[in-house]
Amino acid sequence: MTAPVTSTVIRFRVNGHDREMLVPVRLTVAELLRDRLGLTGTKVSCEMQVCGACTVVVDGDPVSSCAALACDLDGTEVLTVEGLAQGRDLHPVQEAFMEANALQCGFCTPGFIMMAVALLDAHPDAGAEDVREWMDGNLCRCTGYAPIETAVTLAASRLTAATAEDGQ
Amino acid sequence: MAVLPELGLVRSGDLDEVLAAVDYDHAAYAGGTELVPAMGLGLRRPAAIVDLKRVEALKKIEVDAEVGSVTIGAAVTHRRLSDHPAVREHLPTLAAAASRVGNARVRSTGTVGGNLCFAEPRSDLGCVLVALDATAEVRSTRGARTLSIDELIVGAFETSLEPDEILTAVAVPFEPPGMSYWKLQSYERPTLGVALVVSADQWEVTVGAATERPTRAVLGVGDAAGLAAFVDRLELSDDMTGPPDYKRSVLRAHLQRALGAAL
Amino acid sequence: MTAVPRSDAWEKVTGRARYAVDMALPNMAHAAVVRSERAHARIAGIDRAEAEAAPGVIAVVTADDLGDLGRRFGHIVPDHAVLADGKVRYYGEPVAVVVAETPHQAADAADLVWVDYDDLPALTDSATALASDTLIHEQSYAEPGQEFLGVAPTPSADNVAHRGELAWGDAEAALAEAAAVVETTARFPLVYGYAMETYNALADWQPGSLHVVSTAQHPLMVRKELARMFSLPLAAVRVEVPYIGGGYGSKSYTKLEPLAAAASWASGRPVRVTTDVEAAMYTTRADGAVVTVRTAFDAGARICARDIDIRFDTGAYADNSPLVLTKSINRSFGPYRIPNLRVRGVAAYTNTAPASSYRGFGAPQGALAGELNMDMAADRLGIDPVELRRRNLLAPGDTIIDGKRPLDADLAADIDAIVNALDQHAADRDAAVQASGDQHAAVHAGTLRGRAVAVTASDAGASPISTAQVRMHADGSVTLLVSSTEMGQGSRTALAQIAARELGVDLDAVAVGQSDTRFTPFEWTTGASRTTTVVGLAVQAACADLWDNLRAKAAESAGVPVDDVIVHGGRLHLAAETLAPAEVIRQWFGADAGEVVGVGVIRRDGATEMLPPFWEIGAVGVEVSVNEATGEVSVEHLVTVGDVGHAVNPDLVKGQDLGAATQGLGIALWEEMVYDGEQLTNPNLIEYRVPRLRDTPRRVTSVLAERGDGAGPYGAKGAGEGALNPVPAAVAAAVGRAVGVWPTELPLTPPRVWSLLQQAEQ
Repeated sequence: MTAPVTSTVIRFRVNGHDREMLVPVRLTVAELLRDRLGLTGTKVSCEMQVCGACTVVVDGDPVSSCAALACDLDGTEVLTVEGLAQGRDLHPVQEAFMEANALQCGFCTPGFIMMAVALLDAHPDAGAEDVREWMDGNLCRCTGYAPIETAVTLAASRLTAATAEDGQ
Repeated sequence: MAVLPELGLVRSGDLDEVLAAVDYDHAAYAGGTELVPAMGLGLRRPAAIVDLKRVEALKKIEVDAEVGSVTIGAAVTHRRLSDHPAVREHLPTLAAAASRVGNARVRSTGTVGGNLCFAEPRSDLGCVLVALDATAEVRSTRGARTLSIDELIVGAFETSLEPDEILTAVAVPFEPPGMSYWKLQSYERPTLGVALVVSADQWEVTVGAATERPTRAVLGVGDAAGLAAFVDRLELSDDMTGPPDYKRSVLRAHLQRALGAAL
Repeated sequence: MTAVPRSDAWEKVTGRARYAVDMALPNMAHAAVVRSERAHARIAGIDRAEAEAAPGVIAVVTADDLGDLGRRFGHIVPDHAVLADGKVRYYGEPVAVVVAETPHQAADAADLVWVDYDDLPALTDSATALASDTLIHEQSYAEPGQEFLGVAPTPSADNVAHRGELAWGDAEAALAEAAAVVETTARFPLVYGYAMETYNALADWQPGSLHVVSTAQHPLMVRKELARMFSLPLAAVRVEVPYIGGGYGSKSYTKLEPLAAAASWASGRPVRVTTDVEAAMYTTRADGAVVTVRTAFDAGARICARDIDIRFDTGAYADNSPLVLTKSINRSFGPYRIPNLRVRGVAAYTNTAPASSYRGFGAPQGALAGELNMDMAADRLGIDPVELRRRNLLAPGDTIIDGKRPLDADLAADIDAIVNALDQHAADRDAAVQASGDQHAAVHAGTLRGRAVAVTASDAGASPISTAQVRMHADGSVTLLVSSTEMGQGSRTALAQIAARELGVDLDAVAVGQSDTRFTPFEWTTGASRTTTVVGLAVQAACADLWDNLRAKAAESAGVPVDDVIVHGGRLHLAAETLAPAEVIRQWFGADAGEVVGVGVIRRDGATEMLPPFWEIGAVGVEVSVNEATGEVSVEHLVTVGDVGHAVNPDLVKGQDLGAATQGLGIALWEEMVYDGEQLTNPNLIEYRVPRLRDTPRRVTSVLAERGDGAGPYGAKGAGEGALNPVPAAVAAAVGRAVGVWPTELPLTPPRVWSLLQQAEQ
């Protein structure tokens, strides 16, 4: 039988940079990002996969980083809120959140933004019902959600428009 | 913030090595959506987790057109299940239910096998799979066996798996005509789930979420009395999603509407 | 003014914004808290040998290890043990803290601390506690002369944390003689604010100084308590509060800071203490309440008297609940003409999580019974509930409570705005039904509808003690320093807008430094919707002071009397020349350097002499639909009126109103901490359900009433709590109308509404 190990080496990409690290099996992705890589934009709140504050994108899928193990990142590509902007240029979802006043305390904001990025990358044609279904899995205590829904819809329409332009 | 306890890892792409490692203290692990929080809360304290995700055989979705069934590997995620063309074609109700499990993050990592083996009563897939007459393929170093889902899930948070066994796949017959799944979900997990298969001569009703495990009745079409007796006999949970009377009333109203039966 | 974008938006969308939980110090150690597994027990012994021997452990700290440090805190009643001292009073109370090199080592070792308990009877609800001979606190903490905002602690006895009363006229006699008396009893649940950044604190004790970074809304209040605990001068204690991940009152006053500071002192290391949601729920919740209202009416449906009893479940420690109770009493009877009044309140200690401030501060508890009672009365008297309110509402300038500021709002106009919006929605719906015919009717079969309006007026607990500092630099740009915290409400943006307007500079030229007691000037609190009004006035005063200083310097440089320098249009006009402020600064210093400072101070005089500084108005309307089969409630339409006098930033006001109303909807429909025996059954977000995106009202109408009737800058009044206060009552009344049975408790979860539907059938 293969003997268990309590730490393991992982090779992965985070925000475009290759990493190789020895991580304890008990280490969560959120702990890895926040405590070991200094990527504190990812927030931890409910720790039950309900609130979505810790959402990061792994190989295109949104994941609760507080409940995922760092050892599972081996061979993956991770995107966090810190990796969205291209230099000084914000991602369209970030711009939409600013424009729609879709934040107050801001603690849920990185998670909402990453969830929206995952949605719009997978479904560039996401409609209103897709936006509601995906965003319903994140909690915000400040805004009452309406501005967030507006922001994601705005980003979706811009990305669709941009895709259409590219296609022409 | 909560912290996980010290934990070992067994990881292999070889099913036999994985099977050799699994026992009570070495927990089968795939998506972790149930196991990781349970470990964080101290509800489960395995010495090690045995990662199933590198075993390709556990991630397959295969259609057997001759038999008319889809075999779904235990480590298939809810998202892959709901997005898979063959599942959407042959098992549309299952695909739709999978597309509404938990939230978009849970669907990224959570797996069919994890969902069934954790046997959380407030769940959709078990109910739909019982209604579909799905079977579970179970393996250990001692051999393989096949169970119905009804035999697999024996109670709340309880399966008939031995500690050294893992669920490798579920085989699901193509969806029959006249199938539907409806749920009441006011909290994070469903309060009540009802899968119906209505054919020319019978009503098949499977109730989940509010029961300890999915519970099915097969009745003749129009057998309102039999249906009422089934509903009255069900043992329904009493929790914050509501008392049994409430759930029974909602169930009755749904069945009346869906089947046109006067209950 | 204008809806400029938030100045913190870029930081927050890029993940750059720093919160307390993101901060670290060199050589920082990590704490894990050992929490009580009993609701009420004596501590027979603590065995920590195993924990002390565990890898990475630096210190294990219990109450016995606190040496000369103060062992209790509490700004009104100093009853709150830093670490349980001899006994535990609630499940989840900190008993010991383990300090280790890593969070993992601290958590592992915390599992090795063994506590022996001798159980005492657990009193987990207010009625039981008030009737029991078992005392939760065996001593009284009240001392002569001790008071906080005029509230003196009630000597603890019979498990009473506080009592209060407000009365005028003869309510008893009026009730006896009235044409009709309507009685309502309503239960307000235990709720948890769920600020998404849970409580955390980082403390660095060094000989003679203490530096704390935490999630505190009121850093100066925390500084005062820490200075007392450590016998340090105020100046030696630095409390720094970066962005706060949500507050809503739940982070008012002192929480984890004494624990973190004690751990740092005991270990000699900087120490971080965090909480998960479960620990946060046990740290602070809002007061649960049972409120009974009896209202007497004359034959013309005019109120003759109201008699109100408020019983709070305050939990194991008083925290701010005595003040919350006092405010609940003031806010329970509503902005109506009431010739005879008696309100009596008691806050009971119970063996549950300590209760304290939460958005609305006693108003939602009182208004639930008070406003529901108005709807019930309207039915009894056979008049429209809006008409009943109109007939009894106070007019602008009327006295609500003798000796307090007269009403500075036009409530009748607010209600008109709500009714118009509700009517418009109903008309739109009817038109849609007509257009779609039978199809629409089929969709809506099995759906019941109800609508309701509710109003509240809160004597804002906005103590007018505030200072602001503006530093103008050699290029004319400005640094504004205030100690009010930024927890999402947008103070950083709104206060900068006020400074920019007062100084005639672009908003981009104003930088804001906030909430670091070493550098920023005194602030009372950030709560009670006070910041735009009270701190705004301090900012205005600081800007005026800056202009005075610039005038003096311009005069000195030019060698003319100060009176010859006139400030107009953002410039200083002298006989010979007109100067920009930056030119004055450079001229006076004789270099492209230097700065001029203005300081603004607000205290109880002038515009803020009369309390409250403003009445915070809550005025909302809701239309709900109820699914007859499932009991599910949908909010079809929510109307809020932000009666703010003047909106410095209309987007921020609307954001506050929708956010506050949404929290009100959470209390109305979902949120409840459930104790089953000694502990919570739902200490997590799976079962403590808060509003989600899909729960949002199908339609929202946000009205801003800008009548310039406030004492703040440009006629502003506060916002932030108002839109929550009447929402639970309005939803309860609307559901009651839809179903035909008045609810008596919240939240109105589907099974509860179903049981109302069952009652209606019988």
